[in-house]
Amino acid sequence: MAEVRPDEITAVLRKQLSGFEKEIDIYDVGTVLQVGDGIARLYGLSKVMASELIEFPNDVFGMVLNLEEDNVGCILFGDDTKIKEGDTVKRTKRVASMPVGEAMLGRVINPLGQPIDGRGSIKTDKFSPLERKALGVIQRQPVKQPLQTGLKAIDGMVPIGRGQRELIIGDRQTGKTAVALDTIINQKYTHSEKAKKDGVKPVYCIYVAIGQKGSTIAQVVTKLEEMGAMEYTAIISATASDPAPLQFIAPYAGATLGEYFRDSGRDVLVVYDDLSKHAAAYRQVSLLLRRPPGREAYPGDVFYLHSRLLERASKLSDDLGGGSLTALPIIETQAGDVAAYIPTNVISITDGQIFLEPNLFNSGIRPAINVGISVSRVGGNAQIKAMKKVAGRLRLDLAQYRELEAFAKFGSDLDKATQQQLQRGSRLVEVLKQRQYVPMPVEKQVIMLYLGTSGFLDQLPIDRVLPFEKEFLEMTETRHKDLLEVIAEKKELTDDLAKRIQTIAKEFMDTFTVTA
Amino acid sequence: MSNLRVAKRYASALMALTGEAKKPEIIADDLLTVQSAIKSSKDLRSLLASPVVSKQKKKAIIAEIFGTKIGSVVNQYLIAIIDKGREDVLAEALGQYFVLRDEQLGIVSVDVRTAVKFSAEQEKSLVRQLESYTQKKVRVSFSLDKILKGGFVAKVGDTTLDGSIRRQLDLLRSRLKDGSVSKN
Repeated sequence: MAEVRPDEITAVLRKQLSGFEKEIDIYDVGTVLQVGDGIARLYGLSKVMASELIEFPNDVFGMVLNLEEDNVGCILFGDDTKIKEGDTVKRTKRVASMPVGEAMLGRVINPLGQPIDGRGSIKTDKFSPLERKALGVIQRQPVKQPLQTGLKAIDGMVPIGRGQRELIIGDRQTGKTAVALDTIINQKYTHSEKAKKDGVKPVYCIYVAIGQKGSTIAQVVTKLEEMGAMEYTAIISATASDPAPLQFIAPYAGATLGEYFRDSGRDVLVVYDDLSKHAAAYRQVSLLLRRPPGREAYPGDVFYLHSRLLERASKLSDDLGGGSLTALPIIETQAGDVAAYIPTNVISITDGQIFLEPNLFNSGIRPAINVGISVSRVGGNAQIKAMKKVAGRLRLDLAQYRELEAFAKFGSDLDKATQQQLQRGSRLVEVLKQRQYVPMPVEKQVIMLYLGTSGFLDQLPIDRVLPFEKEFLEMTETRHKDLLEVIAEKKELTDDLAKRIQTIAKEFMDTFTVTA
Repeated sequence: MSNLRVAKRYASALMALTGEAKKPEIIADDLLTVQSAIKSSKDLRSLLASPVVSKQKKKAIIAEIFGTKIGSVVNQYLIAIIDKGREDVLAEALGQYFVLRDEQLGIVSVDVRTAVKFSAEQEKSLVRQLESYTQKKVRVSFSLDKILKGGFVAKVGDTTLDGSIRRQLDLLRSRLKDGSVSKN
């Protein structure tokens, strides 16, 4: 242990104390009129700004939300039991902000930017305000690069572009978080050398957990660590036991951190899990601040609450570095009711939605995406050419299949064309199935979807489609690696390549045991 | 809390009346008389707050107490406020009135707390300094506060000018706790 000499201490103290008789300290103060339920009302502070940070005693901070004629309404980011009526509070003269920086990656933090993973302090030198105005039209450019989720059903049917806002919506236990986590895990590829060669920029991820169980978040962290995804991921956590004001600012903190990466020319993915609980937290503080309730008791500005958050997702123009912030908000519906207030709001704000259904989930179609009503309004421009080619056919085949599905029980009574369409559709549904935590690179997706849409898989029994996929892709990886590389590099599926896939598949089919 | 708003309305109405009057000081003096009467008499306060006593009776009592001591404007004001059933906010309205009047006359009241009693010389110099800081006339009330250890704390509206040893010690403590004390 290093020894500390007494004279050194004296020197330090003298140095510090020399600035002791400084000039007068000037600050604005107010007093607490009322405190409780995570909010406080203050008297005084006549010059305070909206959303300014306020310092309370015992290191508790608050943010001004209401400016009224005779008092100031304030939300508290700490323990409200440490504050008493009559306490003196101080202005900080800065709006609520959080530290941002590279060092946040791999860490679990609270919405104020403080680490909560017990791995010591985070060294950052920049502060950014939580609420920032979204960029205007001039600073943006259209979404045109794909953000691969690694899920065939999404990358094929509802593609997501970098800078897009795609809603993931569904009942509880339908795999909403799983879709988001798979997407995060799939970004590992973008940080590899190979991606650099293929011209794919790395994607940094931010997972914002709002009002979830602490144990769920711990599971997410463990899984991401296990998959090696924490290196490029930051987790912002406001659990169900955190005060509602913290849950309220959590997504804004995520957007702020995301904007830091975006503004330095990088691509970011931010997952807001989930915004229904965020709206509930905002409703709580709003009602406590006595703002008038509206539909479902949400305050009048609950639409603006989410629109200003999601509007911060963007693809920057090349002049500004060309970074992007992709937002994946999640909404939990109650018994499939998408016509409730918050779901309709967020559906209308986002550039499309991925709809997850419990009955699909229970019948074994996982991810349980209802491809009929899931849409992506801008992502199509972002698909790679090869995928576009196979996906067009896929969409059509599946639509026809859904139309005829009701007649499937008549079996052999149907005419040949109908039977064939039913057969094709059921194989395609099978191809779109995928296990959790095994995202698939886009070149393999293209090959599988090509085989599905070209009718090659029709000869297989349904329960052999997935084993075929597994073994076929393994074989391709070991024996035809160049094929995968060409598709990944050129991003196109030429007729030559298609023919080659056909031949390889035919050869493989001879060795594949069709019946289990 | 909503009382404060009502009080502000009644105070600003009174302020407007004062502005129209030929001799505003007289009105202010009359109001000061009323205010000090309310402050000093608990009975008067409970009378004003009581909903049981009829308006007629209240008016008669008020007229008997102040009648000749105050001018007609203030008398009418008191009657009007009783008619409206707002006599319970009278004390607050008067308080707000003096705040508004100070604002109009460019006077700020400053609370100064000191650790040791200031000499007349020191007080004068402090008042001079405060006047140059606020660019207004200053009405200072001094009080003693041993907790400060040394120096003074002046409160001008919501702004605090803190030159106390206590504050310096608090700052030092937080700096030592944060570990930002460094050798260089």
